[in-house]
Amino acid sequence: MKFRSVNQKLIISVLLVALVLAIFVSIVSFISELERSSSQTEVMLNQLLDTVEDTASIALFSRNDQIALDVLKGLLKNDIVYKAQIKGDEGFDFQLSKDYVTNNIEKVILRPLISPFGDEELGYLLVQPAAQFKLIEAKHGAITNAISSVLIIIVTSITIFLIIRSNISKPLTYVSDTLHAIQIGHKQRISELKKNKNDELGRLVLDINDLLGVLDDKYKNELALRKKVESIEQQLRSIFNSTSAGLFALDENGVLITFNKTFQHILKNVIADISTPNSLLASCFHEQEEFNNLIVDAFQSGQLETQDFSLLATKDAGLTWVHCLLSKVINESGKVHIEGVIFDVTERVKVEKSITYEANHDMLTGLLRRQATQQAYQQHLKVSTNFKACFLFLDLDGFKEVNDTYGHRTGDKVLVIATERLIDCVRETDLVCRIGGDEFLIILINCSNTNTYQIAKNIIMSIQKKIPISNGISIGVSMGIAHLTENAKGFDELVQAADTAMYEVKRQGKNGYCVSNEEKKVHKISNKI
Amino acid sequence: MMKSLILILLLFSSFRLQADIAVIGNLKNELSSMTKKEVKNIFMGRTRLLPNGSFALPLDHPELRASFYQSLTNRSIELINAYWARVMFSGQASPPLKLPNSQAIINVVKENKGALGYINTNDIDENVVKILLILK
Repeated sequence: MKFRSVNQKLIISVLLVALVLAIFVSIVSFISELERSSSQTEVMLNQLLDTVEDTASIALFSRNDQIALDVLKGLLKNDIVYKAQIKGDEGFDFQLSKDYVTNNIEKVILRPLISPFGDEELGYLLVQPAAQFKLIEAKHGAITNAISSVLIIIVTSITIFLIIRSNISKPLTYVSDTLHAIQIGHKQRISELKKNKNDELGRLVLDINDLLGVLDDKYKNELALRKKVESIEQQLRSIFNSTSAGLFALDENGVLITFNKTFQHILKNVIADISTPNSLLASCFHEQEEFNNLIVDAFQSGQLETQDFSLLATKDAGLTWVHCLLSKVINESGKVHIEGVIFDVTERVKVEKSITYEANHDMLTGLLRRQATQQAYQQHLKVSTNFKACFLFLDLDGFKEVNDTYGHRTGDKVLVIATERLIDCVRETDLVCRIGGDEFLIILINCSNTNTYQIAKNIIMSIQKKIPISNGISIGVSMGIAHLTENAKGFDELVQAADTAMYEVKRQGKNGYCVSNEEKKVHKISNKI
Repeated sequence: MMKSLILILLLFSSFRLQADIAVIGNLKNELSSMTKKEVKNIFMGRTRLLPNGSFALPLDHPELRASFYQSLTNRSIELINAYWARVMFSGQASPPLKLPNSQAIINVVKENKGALGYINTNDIDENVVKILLILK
């Protein structure tokens, strides 16, 4: 829509109304003038007839055509008369008319003529009015009326327009233009209207200024508030992104909703394109099932749930461990989701693992310690029914001499080599343990008797092989064997039994094995045979 | 008393004598009488013919003129004069012929068959002229 000012509209409206009024007034005045002139014509004609009536009746009485014609000529000299006629008895009939003009008026005025010397009617005098005259008269009157009324209308319109313009539309335009130009946050105000101080417009200006003031304050407050919020948001975002913790949120299905940079950094080797947060976080871990369980726990308990997980690394060979904290959060709209924190705890886990390893393994040989072996055995015993096991208790022969001759360092080397040979002889599932010094325990898991003795022989033969240190070192081994039975299941019990059997071998000349329940029979094994 | 009575009688008789005007015509005139309208039409110039179709010759009496027209048309003599002045101006008609006295009128009526005059009834000798209308 094209902008049109109030002033413009006012001018157009006033002009239109004035025009319509002027046309209306002109038409009405023309019609009334026409009627008025019509009746005026009649009056004038009657007056004319009054003037000539006596003479006409004389002419008629005396049958004097000269006088009659004089009368008729006299009548036709008036513009108003188109035709005049005098008619009496005995063929006395004269008429004159203006034949050079057309006349469409049928109306005539008839005056009966009375004898000048009596009461009898002698005839009549007739006149017909001139239409042209009537029209000219009416036009003249109408134009005069129209001009005067149009003048009055125009003057009144202009006056009203000027009053409205100076009192309403001009100040209104000023207010509108000024308000239109004012920008929020500026000090500018609409200046007071001098003419309209005490009317509605003046009040409007005051109210607008008040509103602008209020708006200004609100705008400033909002601006300050927004800046504050922005700065807080900036800080929070900075914290969110720079923290060493990986922060994330999951929906109830474990799908990632959002996360920070650290989270992205931690998981960079697992998820190629993490910027499409539609993936299940659980699929990033080796322990997928456990992670899902943790989510369920967090939902059910409503408390903080924590666990360590290892990442499924795609590129790096190194295993990454993360510590994960999950907690249920209900947001303002009542929607439930999980907020989580992950820390890269690879280093800590590594340390923990090495501590555990050290606790369970012999530092020199890397074999299980007695405590760990016992735990592993008991674990086996617990989980599998119909479990078979065979305890081999070994004591190296001649190790003390090696220690004494070549020193502890060489002794240690010998122990390492012996260990390697032991491991070579047993299956992967079997447990190999260093009890202490030159004593070893091997537990064969689910192994047949034949295989057991074959393994025992292999071990004894393998140990006896010359060890390529210095000029070659030779050691031997004594082995006691104890089988797991219905009556003997305890670890210590079986170790004790194997140990006892081993001493029997020592007593009977070493390099052989003795089975605990076979009445001290020692099977001598020599690789020379 | 007697004197005054005689005077009233005299006055009355003289009024009677003065008031009665008669329209007279030639003895040979075929009309025995005329109406007031017929007399008026001839004397005011509306027609020149007697009702029987013969020419009329109206005559005016110098003294009786005012009372004659007054009783004939009920109009004043000034109006009658004005009328004649207008008609005469057109040149188409003329008023009745004016004669000096009653005797002259009687003489003219006696001589002309179509003549019409008016005189006091007292002056009329019915052997000489014919009374056609008496105006009271």
